[in-house]
Amino acid sequence: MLCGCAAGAARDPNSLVILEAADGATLNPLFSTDAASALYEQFIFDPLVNVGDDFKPIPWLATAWRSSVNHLHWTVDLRRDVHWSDGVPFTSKDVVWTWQAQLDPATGFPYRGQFDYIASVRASGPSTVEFTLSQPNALFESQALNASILPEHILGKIPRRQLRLSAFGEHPVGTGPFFLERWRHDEEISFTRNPRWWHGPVTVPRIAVRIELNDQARLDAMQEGSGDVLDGLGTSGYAILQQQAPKLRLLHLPDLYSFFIYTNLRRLGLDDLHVRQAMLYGWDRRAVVRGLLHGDAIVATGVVPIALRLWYDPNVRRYDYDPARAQDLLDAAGWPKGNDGIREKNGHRLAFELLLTGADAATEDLAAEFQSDMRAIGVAITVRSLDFATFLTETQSLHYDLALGGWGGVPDPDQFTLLESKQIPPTGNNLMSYSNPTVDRDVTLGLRALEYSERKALYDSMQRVTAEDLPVLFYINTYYRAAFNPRVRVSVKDVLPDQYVFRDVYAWRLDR
Amino acid sequence: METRPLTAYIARRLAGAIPLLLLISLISYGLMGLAPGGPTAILSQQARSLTPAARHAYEVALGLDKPWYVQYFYWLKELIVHGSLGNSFVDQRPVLARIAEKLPITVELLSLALLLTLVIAIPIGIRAAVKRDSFFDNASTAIALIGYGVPVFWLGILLIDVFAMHLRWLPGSGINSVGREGDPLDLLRHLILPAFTLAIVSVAGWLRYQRASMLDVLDEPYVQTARSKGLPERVVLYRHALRNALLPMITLLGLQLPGLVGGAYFVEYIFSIPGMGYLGINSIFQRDYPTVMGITMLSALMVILGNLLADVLYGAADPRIRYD
Repeated sequence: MLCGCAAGAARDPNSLVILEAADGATLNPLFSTDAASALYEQFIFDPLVNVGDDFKPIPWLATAWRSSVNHLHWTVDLRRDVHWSDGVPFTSKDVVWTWQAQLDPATGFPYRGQFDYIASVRASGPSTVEFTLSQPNALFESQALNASILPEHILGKIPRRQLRLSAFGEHPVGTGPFFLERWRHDEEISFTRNPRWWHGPVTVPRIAVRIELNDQARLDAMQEGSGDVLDGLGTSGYAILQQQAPKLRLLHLPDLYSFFIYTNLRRLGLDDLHVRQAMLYGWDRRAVVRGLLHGDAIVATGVVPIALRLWYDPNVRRYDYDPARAQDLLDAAGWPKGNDGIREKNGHRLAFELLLTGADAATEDLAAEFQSDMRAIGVAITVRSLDFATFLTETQSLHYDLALGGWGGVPDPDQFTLLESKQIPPTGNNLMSYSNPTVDRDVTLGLRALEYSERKALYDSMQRVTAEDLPVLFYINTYYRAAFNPRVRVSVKDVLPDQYVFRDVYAWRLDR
Repeated sequence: METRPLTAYIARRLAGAIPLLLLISLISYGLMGLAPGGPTAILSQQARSLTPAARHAYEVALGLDKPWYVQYFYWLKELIVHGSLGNSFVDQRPVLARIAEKLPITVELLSLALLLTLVIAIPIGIRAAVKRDSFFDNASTAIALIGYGVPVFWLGILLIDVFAMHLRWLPGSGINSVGREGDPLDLLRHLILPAFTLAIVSVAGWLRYQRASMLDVLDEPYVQTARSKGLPERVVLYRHALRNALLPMITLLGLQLPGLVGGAYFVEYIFSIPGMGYLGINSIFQRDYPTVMGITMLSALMVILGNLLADVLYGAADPRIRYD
């Protein structure tokens, strides 16, 4: 009998086998936008500043960095003992070229808009780089200095417009802890350790990222012991491994994402604060978390995820399930129930369409529960599922009433492009058309302030005001889950969620 | 068979395929251009601070700032002048290289599916013809027709549920187990369920053709003669009748190819097989127009060439066929 459950394959004890659900697109950081590419790139490239515990910046290719009093000029000192994987020394030329390429529109670097405050970058010596900013930016250290540095001696020979088509994305040269060994797209990508890495010995000899497109196949590989790390486990997969694979070490911690129902504030009805508040009071989110999500999520209370411990403010207005209060709010706002039980005002019914994307059974069940809760308070909801690209087009062109979505993934409370009033599409991603002068001030000054206490006060204010205004209906904060084979020696308590889980993979140890 | 008329026939058919391919490309590009969503919509969500200027620069770099028919013209020019299908919007690699690395697994899957189909359909078709109007004949036809009517995606999910999830006899996804890359037996184990899914759906057509073809042949005088000579029934069937009854099946190969190629798209997606179909469906979701076009054109070409090959083989097998 052929058996699919126990392959019993001999495995290479020197390889750390990471199981991923999707392959990356390119190993050229100038053009990658997907999570898997970012994962691979951190094995090959180094940033000037890396992510330390609690997401704080730590020196990496940069030994030190300092700013002028007005925070417009930054001087970054570089390490002198670093070489590219082809043996060429790393210098300030590489940093300057990387930044000039990223800021040049001809390159087509997709994240260029995030760094439009960087006016110029120049070398003031072989190991010193000067950045000049057009205005102070709180994300300069954590985001700009965290960008991968690329080899000028290779990419500098290619016209910027041609960089997109260069083969560098398949044959990268970096300064990082690993070299690319082989890449079979959608199957496996492997890396071997850089024996001369400037940071010190790399304890993992080889990494094999195995692309297993199917959820069950990834779980099977972990249970059989052929996989070492399963990154980004879903709720049900986590529960299965908890029950069936007691030997695995499981990681479960709040991640950096928040999920909401976006409200299009240009729609009649949704422009009424009382309606939005009533909808949140009338939505039994705790029941959804307990039932559909098996308790494996946190009911969100605001726009900043709970995982950002330094920034999350719990002291905001709460909307615990209270359908009676929801009904009272709607009555008081002049939305009486019609003959069919749906509320209306001046002939306009409280009836909205909820857009979903990538809808699995659980999401559709969630939509059905939301529909039911809303029906109970007199709000009619219809549901439409769309593919991701269409969903984005509909929401970004503001052709929607309600949409289930989320944001996050970055270790900073900045919400400028999502909440600031000038960031309404097509300018930015304020899909709600939300406008509040206090929040505008908070998110604008929050980006310019550099002191933690000053930023904290601004983002507390942002969280308080948005909890009153409800430009989005808060849904849940999610958990990051991963499984580790016990042979992988890693301190689980030091692991950060999401893409940061592999930030110190070079120091992990493998038992034979 | 004379060579010259055959060469001229192939040339005529290939020349006739060019406007057909052009029409397919125009319709496909038009449909993509009119579909909602686009590559930059996805990019702007991933790069959350993408400014309109950066998005526009990206659109210009990809040629997406022009109407779809202008984009089509440039795509066609690139294909005709440089023989290039362009570069993927997703990973910037040449589309042809992306397809070339996916094609072998799709061909392996299709070959195995075809082999399974023939192994199942031909013996049953023969037996159904020999036992005409018997319970076996009616039952096999009914079962085959049910298989024909079942949507391939539903059948695939059903087989995964039964054989991979519950019975755990066979893997339900991918092309090899972790740590067994390059093991042909492991590959075969992974391809059995998807190939079987494709085979079940196409068995009905083959079975019915085989049965009808066999029935025609069984009434032929040379079969009667063989029987009257006292040859064993097995020899009559397999040496005299089957050889001629297989001839029309060659035509069916060409007719079945579109269904198989189309079915392979869904099957690869359902079974997470990283072949051409999986790449195609993913590319549609990612709005990777050059890759979608490349796969569409290659699939169309495969179907056209499959039909042509069937016609040529039929001619080679049957000397009565003329190509002038």
